[in-house]
Amino acid sequence: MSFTVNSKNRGVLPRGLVLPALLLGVWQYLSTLGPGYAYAFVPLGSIGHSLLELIASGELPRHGYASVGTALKSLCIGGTLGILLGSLMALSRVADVVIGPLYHALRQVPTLGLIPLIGLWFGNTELSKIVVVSIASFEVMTLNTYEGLRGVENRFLEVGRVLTFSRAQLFFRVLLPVAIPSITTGLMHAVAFAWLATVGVELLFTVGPGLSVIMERAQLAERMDIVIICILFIGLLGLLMNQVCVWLGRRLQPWRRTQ
Amino acid sequence: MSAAQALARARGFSWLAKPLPLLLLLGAWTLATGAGWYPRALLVPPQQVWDAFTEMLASGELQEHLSMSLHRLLIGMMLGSSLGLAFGVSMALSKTVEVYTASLFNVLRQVPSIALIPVLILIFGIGETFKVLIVTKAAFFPVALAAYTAVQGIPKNYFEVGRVYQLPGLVLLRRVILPSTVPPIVTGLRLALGRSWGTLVAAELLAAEAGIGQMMEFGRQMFRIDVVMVGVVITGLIGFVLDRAMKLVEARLSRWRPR
Repeated sequence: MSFTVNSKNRGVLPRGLVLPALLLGVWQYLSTLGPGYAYAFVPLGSIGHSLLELIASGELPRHGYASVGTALKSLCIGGTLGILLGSLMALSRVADVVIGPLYHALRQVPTLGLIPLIGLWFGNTELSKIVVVSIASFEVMTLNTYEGLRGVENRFLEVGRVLTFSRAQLFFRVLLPVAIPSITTGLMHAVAFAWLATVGVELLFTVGPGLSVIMERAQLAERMDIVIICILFIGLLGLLMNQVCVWLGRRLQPWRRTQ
Repeated sequence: MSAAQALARARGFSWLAKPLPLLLLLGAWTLATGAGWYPRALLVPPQQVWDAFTEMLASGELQEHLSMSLHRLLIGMMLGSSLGLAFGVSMALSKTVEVYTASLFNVLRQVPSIALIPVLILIFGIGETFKVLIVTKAAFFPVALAAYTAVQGIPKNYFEVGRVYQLPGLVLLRRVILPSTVPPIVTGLRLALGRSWGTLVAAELLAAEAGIGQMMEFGRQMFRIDVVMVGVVITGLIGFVLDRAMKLVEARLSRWRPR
């Protein structure tokens, strides 16, 4: 459901904005109805004002930077471990037998449900945040790497054997290239999941800088305008990171122009 | 079926095959705690977790929390999926609807459900409403997307064949439209269920008087690691059972597919 604007659907973009504009209009109207309404439906002007204030004071960039930082750091840790474990489980029967059940059991638990446990083990700290988000990225990457490597069709392996590839050559020349689409898809999912986990973790461990941290504090202080600004930026940053992944995916797979 | 199960089957221990992964996990857990590899504060033995479980079961506490959570899940899922279904189908059938709502839909889809918790709390307070609404949001988007893709994906020639045979509307629905769209929609429902469960647990961790998430959070505050572990296991179990049940429904409904 993605649009590329061409001569056929040039009217699409403006029409797509009609509904949001209408909703904003209704919002603004509701905010004028009275103090009770203005509490929930904060006037757009006040939102804009708070936005400029937050950007100018450097608060918004600082917290946004911290959130993205947490997500990226955990992605590196969790993602790398995920690729390693996924490859291990796909290539070694022993690892699959021994570690597989543990992994699948862990995967069943909603990642944010592990927060109380991690909180008890590591306390209400930055480390706990990174651990939880790493677990989230780890779970996704492991699965995608595992399935990517496992799904290599037999005919490719046969070609490798016919050409008398060594195990290493088989891995690097056959398995890895075939698994790369799965791994890059896994990366996209891992990024989305890691961002989701970052939001959740910051809401629950309100320590250190972070977008959701100020969002939670704003909720407790009943500052609806800040909450809305945070939501906007959470969505925006998530979208940005997703686009970066898509771009990276295209760069890593130049042979898949028809993506 | 993992390699361990295949091994067990082959050696004539077929009765062991199913529970083997869980037994291995349990064995490793007991070993780790019994051998004193971890201090008591970090990892409690399975026996203690079991005791906490039976204690909460006897006092009826567990059932109360569980029924609250499942109740919220059910209502949210019903609301979210029915709305999602209606919306997805209408987006697929009507170009006008699609043009006006697609951009807003895609933008809102980007925002993680959990990020909406503070807004909803500000508007609706810390009650049942916001939790049901969060589940509704979490369920709405996967189902809407699945319904949209499913209806869009019905091959046009099916309708041509229907016209050639002059099929009455109801027969067209039962024999052509439903079989082609129901399986992907059920997959969407399965994904929605998984996400809704995870989101609900997170919402309960943040603000609730009862529910599995609240039980875990309370356990964390009271430093009752056994209570937290009971919660973790139950959350995982429920997620697993729900997912499995949906997979069975999916398989049953896809029976007509030539595989």
